[in-house]
Amino acid sequence: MQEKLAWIPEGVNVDVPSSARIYDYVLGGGHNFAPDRQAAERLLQAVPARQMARLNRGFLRRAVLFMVDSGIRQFLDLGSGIPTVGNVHEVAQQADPSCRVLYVDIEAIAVAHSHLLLAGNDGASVIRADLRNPEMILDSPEAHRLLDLDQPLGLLMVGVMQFIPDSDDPSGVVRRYRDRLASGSDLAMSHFTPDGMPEEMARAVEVFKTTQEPAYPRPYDQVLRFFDGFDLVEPGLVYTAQWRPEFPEDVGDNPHHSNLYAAVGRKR
Amino acid sequence: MTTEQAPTGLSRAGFALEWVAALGTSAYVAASRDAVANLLRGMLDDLFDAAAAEAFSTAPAVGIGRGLVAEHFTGEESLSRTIEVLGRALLADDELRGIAQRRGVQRMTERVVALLGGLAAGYAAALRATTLDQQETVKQALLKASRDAERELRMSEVRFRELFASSAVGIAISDLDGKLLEVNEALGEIVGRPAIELVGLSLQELFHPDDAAQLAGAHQRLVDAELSRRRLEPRLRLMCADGDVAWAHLAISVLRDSEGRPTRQVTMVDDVTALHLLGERLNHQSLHDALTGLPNQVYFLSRLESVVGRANPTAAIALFKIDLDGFTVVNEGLGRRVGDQLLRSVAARLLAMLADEKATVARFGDDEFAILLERTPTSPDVAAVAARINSELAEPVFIGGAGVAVSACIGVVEHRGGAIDPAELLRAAEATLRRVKSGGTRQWGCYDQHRDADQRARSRLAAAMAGAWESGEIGLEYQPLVRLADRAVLAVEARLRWDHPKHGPLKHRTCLELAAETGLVLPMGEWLLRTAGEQLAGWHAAPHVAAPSLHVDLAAQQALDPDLVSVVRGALGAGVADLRLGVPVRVLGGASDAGLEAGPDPAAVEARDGLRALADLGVTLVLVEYGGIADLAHLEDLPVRALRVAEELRWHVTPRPYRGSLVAKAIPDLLALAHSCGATVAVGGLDTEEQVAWWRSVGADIGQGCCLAPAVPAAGVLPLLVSFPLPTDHER
Repeated sequence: MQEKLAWIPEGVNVDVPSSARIYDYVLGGGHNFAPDRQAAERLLQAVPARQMARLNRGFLRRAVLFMVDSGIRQFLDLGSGIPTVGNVHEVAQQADPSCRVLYVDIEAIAVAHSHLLLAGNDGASVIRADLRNPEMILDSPEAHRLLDLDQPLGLLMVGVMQFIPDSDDPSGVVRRYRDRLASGSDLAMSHFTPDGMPEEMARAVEVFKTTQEPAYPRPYDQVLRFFDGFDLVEPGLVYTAQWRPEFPEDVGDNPHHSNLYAAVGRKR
Repeated sequence: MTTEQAPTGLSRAGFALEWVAALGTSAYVAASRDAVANLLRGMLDDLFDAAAAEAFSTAPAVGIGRGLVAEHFTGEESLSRTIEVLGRALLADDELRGIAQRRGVQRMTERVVALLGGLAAGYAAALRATTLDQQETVKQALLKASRDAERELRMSEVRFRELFASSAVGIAISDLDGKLLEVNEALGEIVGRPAIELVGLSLQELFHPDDAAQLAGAHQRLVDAELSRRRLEPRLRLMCADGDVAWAHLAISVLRDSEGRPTRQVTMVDDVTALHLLGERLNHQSLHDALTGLPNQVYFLSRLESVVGRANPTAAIALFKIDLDGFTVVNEGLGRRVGDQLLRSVAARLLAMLADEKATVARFGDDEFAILLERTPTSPDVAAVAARINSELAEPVFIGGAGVAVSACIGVVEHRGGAIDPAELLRAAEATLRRVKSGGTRQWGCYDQHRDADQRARSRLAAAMAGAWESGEIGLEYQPLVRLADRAVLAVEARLRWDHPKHGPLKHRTCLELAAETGLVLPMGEWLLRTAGEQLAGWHAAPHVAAPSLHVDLAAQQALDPDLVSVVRGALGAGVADLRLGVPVRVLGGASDAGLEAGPDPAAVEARDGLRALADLGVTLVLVEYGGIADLAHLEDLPVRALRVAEELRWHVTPRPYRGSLVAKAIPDLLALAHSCGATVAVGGLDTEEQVAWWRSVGADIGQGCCLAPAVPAAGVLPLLVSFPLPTDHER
């Protein structure tokens, strides 16, 4: 993508790295630009980002399958990013084609990309919105079309809440979603933490400062607090690799290198 | 593969698992481990088949390379780990080794290298195609995102235009100097001019001069503080084309370019004039009299406070307190509605006559008004204002066909310079009003500081009376009434006496007047009758004494008390036959009511009935304060047996009658007239034998005074009586 657009409107930014495109790159995708790749390389020097991304993606897949097994057939994926491999609708609709998925992202290119990908899929859609406005998202026409809030829903906040600073009241944001969900709904969340590799993550935070989305990794207790009002399913809040691995050996010797906590909670 | 090759198969299965593990950690694969294992095992078998085939081709290997990319085994190390694992597997495989021995090792090694090369080539070609696809996709995504954003911008521009045009909120966009660049119709409507006319004007010009600076300052602070928007708290005024003002809440914001430099000011104007007027109205209601619309007492006091509170030594004010005369008569006689209309007309006339003055006219309640006149060099003097008020009010207003005119009593206080307590000013005006009202209707007067001081001293005295009575400071004294012909004691008068520690002894009449101010007069009068009645019984029981009658002067309120008869009977019992009651002439009203336009005063009529009843019980009625021929009329109407000469008349001949005094000349005739009506005449205050002689010479029958007999306490009455000659007859 070398050609430069004569005019790039507000909200479409290819000069400042985007966490969604960095994620795509470290997962081996080609949906990214030079600034994204440069930032990703700096990130790879700080932390095992490929492993983090791969394990986080794996957690998303297992969490979605867990929810489908629990009977959930509708998903709201907040901060869905660039549609690379193993997207939620692919995982869910492969298990049951009736599953419906609404993707939400704030990044214009990721949203445009998702639009292109989802063309022709009646059971999945994407809207561009700020996840800090739960009401705007839950009351959007697309949400009304795809989601039934009276039925259990899979709320996915995978690798996204670390981009919401405390000043924006992330707990309050989660609570506002929770309050609108039917009982029996599931929340899957994974979240950057400094607990496992403090120094490395501190360097990663510095890298994210140069992107569109500065990151705020949080310690165990703070991440746990996001699940207020939810009952955590086994094994509770753990590193992504430790959450219901397919095989015990998938956990590996250093699960803390995943640097993301993960859990699924069920609304009471 | 066939079943007899099971041992080799086990070894292949081992390599397959190794391959799965290698790929699993080098890339994310969106599939279960079993699915991945099956897939790779299939690929592995295909590869082995290719190596063992009679007719050798690398095509299957190229296909496997493409397949790996298609299944997203595209991690950094995915290809190198694959080549490494598969190379070892191919070379170590027993079946392939057997074939190699048959066909030549060299040939098999070449096959393995060619297959791995084909796999790598297929992988590379597929990855390049995928990457190009992805780059193409992301380019499309970028274009789409840009177009979406562009369309969003156009939409938002359209939405803004719509909002701008249809909003009920006035919106002005101006440059940083306040020059209006765009104005919507709503703002035009608020100020009553077409919006297009406003463009090019200064934003400040739209606002009231007192508020414009505030708005400009608020905008400047926004620019300086690098804030984007804020709401202005106080309501500001816009100037309308018709000269009115519109009240508005404002929200202001500053638009900035991408570098954060301010470029435009936006002013949102929410017209709250209606709300403002409602607030004003509520405010007005709490400060104004609903009937007349005049300020009420609260408002008046605050106005007074703000005027006299200013310590301006040259400022002069006059405070008028106005009470309508006989307003109750209008209200009760013509109805409340007429009364209300009259009050409105009074309010209107007071306002009209003071229209050119700096004056506040207020209604305090019922028929009470007040005027605060802030004096200017051209203001009329207070006498002129007072006279004008009554001449204005004297003009009848026609309400429901009836012409109604009123008059007023006016108390005036003037004040010049210096701060003064406004409540004190108002009190002085009210005290003055009370004073002038006691003089009748249509009166006015200015505050008199000395008189006021006296009145206040009296009020203090009156207030202390109950305590003094309780503590025994107020008691009774007795003074005989002596027949001038033979100096026999006909009666003994019982009087109140207050031995005040500071003011000395206060006499009966003063005590009654003070008691009248606090409502003590009736109980105190009854107490006097009862206590003196007990003494009377004692005198009658005493031997060697010709028991005298008991004389008691009634207070006016007692004489008018409908319960007088029962009070007297209860206090005196059988003693009523020996009671002389002094009745003030003035409470009886006119003796003949036929000539009085106002009709008989019902209280006076009732009082006369009561007195007649008392006379029937044997009480001797004495008209006190006999002062003229007119009073004699009562002698025809009431069974009055005696008169006492008014004190005022007596002063004309005291200390001695002087030659040529008209009063002195008239007195003998007055007394003769009384006698001719069958009444005896008494005179008090005889302090000298000369006075006694004179009064006796003009026909007075009975005298009282310290030269005849002193006033004594109860215990002193009997000893005093003993020293007097017995009466020669039974006349009293």
